[in-house]
Amino acid sequence: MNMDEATRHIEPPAYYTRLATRLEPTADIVKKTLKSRGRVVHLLYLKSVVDMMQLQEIVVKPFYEMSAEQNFSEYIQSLPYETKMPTGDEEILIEITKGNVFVMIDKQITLLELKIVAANAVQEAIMEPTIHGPQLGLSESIETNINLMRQRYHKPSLVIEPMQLEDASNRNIALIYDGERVNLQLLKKIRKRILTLDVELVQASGDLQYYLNNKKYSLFPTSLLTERPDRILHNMAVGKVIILVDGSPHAIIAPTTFFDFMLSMEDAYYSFWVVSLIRFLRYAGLFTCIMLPSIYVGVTSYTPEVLRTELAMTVAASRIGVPYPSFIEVFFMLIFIELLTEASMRLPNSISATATTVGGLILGTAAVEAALTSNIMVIVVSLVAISTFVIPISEMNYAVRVCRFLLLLYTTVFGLAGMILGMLGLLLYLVNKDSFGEPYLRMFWKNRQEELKVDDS
Amino acid sequence: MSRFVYFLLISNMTANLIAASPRIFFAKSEEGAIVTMIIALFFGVFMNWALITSFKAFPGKSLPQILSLYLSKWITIPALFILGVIWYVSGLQTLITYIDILLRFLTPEMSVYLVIAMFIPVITFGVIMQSRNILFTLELVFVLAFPAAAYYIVKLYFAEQVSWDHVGIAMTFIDNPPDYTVFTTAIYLFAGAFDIIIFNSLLNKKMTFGIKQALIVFFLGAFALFTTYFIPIGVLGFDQVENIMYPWILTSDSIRMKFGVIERVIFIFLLLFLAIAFLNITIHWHVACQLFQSAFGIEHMKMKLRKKASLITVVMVFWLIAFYTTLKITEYDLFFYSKYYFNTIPIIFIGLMVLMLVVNRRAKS
Repeated sequence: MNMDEATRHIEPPAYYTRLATRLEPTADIVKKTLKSRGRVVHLLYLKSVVDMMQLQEIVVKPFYEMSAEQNFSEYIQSLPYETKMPTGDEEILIEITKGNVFVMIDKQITLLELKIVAANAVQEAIMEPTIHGPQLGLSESIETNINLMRQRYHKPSLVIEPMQLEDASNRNIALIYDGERVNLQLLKKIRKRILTLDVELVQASGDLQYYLNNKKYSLFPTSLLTERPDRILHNMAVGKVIILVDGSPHAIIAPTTFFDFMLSMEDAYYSFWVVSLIRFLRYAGLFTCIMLPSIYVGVTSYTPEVLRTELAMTVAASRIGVPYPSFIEVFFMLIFIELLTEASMRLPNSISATATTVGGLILGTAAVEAALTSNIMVIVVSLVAISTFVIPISEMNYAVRVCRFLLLLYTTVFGLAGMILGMLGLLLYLVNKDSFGEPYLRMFWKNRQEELKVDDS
Repeated sequence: MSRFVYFLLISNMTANLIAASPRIFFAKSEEGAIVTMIIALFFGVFMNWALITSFKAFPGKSLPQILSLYLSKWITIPALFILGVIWYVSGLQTLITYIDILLRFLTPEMSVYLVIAMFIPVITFGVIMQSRNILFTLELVFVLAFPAAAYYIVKLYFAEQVSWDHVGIAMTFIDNPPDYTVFTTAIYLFAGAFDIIIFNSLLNKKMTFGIKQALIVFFLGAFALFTTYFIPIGVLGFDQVENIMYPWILTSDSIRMKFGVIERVIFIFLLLFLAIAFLNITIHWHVACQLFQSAFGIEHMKMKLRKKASLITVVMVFWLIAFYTTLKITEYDLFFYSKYYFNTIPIIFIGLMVLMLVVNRRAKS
C-alpha cells in the first residue's frame, strides 16, 4: 500500500467498526465502503438474508450515478424501505440479523429493510381442509401472512402490533386485531402474558400457544391454532386477538371457547339445514368418541340389563371365548388404535396406507378370530376412531382422546353411574376453565358478536 | 327473574321425585293430600314472590353481604349458620337417597364405600368452584338433559300403563282437611329459588316478580305436583302406592320402550336423575359452604391460603358427616327425619323473611 492510497483511504467510523466486530465471527457478514468523488458510504449487512439485487438497484447504483453527497443522504432517507431505528447496539445488531442493511453516511445512520425470505410461499391448508372455502392457508413468513390478512380485511381499524420475543432467537411476532372491536382489557392481558414469557426458545405458534397457556398440566387448549385465513378473520371480526409468529404457518387465536374448536369453516359455506346436520353429526361424534368405550365397559361388566334382552345377548355371545374382563379388552383395543393413528401420522403417505391396512383390517380380523377380542369391540373401536376425526381442530382432537381414557378409568372403577358422573366431572372441569379471562364453556344464547361482551344476566 | 332462577327452581322441583316427598304424599293420600297441595301451590308462588321482592332492593348482593351491612354480628352469624345447616342437610338428603337408589337398582353388587367414593371427587370439585361456573354448569346440564327429560315426560303421560281411573279415584279425596307435613313437603318443591341467597351476588340485573313470573312459577309448580302425585298413582294403582319405597322408580320401570336400544325406561330415569341429583347436591352444598364461610367470617380474611384451608376444612367436614350418616342411616330413618326436615321449612322461611323485612326497612331509612 503506497502513501497516495493511504491518504485516500478513509478510516471507517468507530461506531461502525464496533458493530462490525460484534458480528465479525460469522462468515456471511459483509462490510462495504462505497467511495466515489470524495463521498463515502459504509454498508454493513449479512449477505445470507439480504436481497443482493435490490441492494444493487437501490443503494449501490444510485450512489455512483448521483452527483453530490448531500443528495444521496436525502435519497436514502426517502426510501420506503427504511426501518425504524432502535436504540442501543444490541437492538441494531438484531435488526441486522433480521435482514436489514445498515447504512452510514457521515454521522447519519439508516436501516434499510431489504431482506429476502425463502419460505414465503403460501401453503395449502392441510389440517383443516374445506371444499368451498379458500384452499390456501398461511405461509411461513410473517410479512406474507400479514399481507394475506390485509388482502381479506380492508378496514383502517385493522391493527398490526409487532412485538419481539425475549427468547434465544429474538423471534418476530405480531398481534393482529380490529381496533374497533377488540376488548381492550383482553388485549392488555395478552400483551402482558407475552411480555412476561420466560422461555428458552420459541420455535413456532404451537409452543408459543403452550407457553401462553401458562399452566403446565392443562389438558384442553385455551387458544386455537389455525392455518386458515378465513378462520382467522372470522374470529378477528368478533373482537378476538390473532398472534402470528414468524416462521410458523399457524396463527394463534385467543381467547377461545369450547365451541370454537367444534366449528369447521365449512359451516359458513353451506345452507342452514346442511350445516345443522353436519353439526349434529359432529357433536354426536364427540359424545360417541368420549363415551362409547366407557358405555361398553359399563354395559358388559356392570349392568347388562340396560340393553334390551336381544342386544344384551348378542353382546354377551360375541364375548364368548374372550379370556379377560371387558375393560382390559377395551384398553387393549384403544391403545392399539391409538398406536395405529400415531404411526400413520408419522409415516410417509405411501407407507402409512399399508400400515393402516395391515393394522386395521388384518390384525382386527385376526384378533377376533383368535378370541382376543369380541366382534362388537372391533366395531366400537373403529367407530370411536372414526368419530374422533370428526372434531375439526386437532388439539381438541388430542384432548378428547386423553379424556376418553380418563372416563374409561372412572367407568372401570364405578360402573355406568360412574360414567355419567365422570362426564359431569368433565363438564365441570371445562366450565371451570377460562381462556384469557373468558369462560371456556357455557351456553351462548346470544350471537357471536355479543359473545365476548356478554355480562352475566 | 333471571333465567338461572328458573333453572334453580326447576332443578329442585325435579330432584324431589327421588327424595322422600312422593312417599309423604302417598302416605296421606286419603287424608287431605290433594287439598294441601293446592294450598301449597298458591303458597309456593307467594314464597317466590316474597323472596324475589325482598331481594329486589339489593341486586348483585348475596345474603351474607346484605346482612353484614345492616345487622349486627350477633344476629348475622347464627342466622347464616342455621341456614347453612338447612342447605347442607338438603343436599345430604338427596345424596343419601340417591346412593341408596344406586345400590338398589343400578349396581347392587357394588360396596357402599365405592359408591360414596364415586361422588366425592366430582361433587367436591363442584362445591369449591366459583358460583358463576356452577350456574353455567346448571344451564349446560339442563340443555344436555332436556331431550331425555322431554322424552321421558311424554312417555310417562302417554304410556298405556297409566290408568286414569285410579287418578280419578285419588281425586275423590279432595274434600279432606289439609295436613301440615304434606304442606311443608309440597312447599319444599318451590324452595329452589332460595338458592339466590348466595347466587344473587351474580345476578346484577334488578329482578321483578310480576303476573307473568307468578304464572310461570304457578304452572311449573302445578305440573310438578301433578306429575309427582298422580302419575305413580295411575301406574301403580291407588290402593298400593303408599306401600312402595321408591314409587317413582317402580313407575319408571313399568314403562317400556318397545323399539329402543334400551328397553326399560328406568335406566333413562336413573341416569337422568343422577345428573339432577348431582346438580342438586352441588348447588345446595355450595350454598351451604358459602354460608358457613361467611358465618365464620372467613370471607374477610386477608390471606388466600387461609381461605383455601378453611374451604378444604368445610368440605372435609361435609364429607365426614355424609360418610357417617350414609353408612348409619336406614331407609326408615331417612323417611322419618325427612319429615322433620320438611316440617322446619316454613319456620326457616318465616325467619328469613323477617330478616329481609328488617333489612329492607333499614336500607330504606
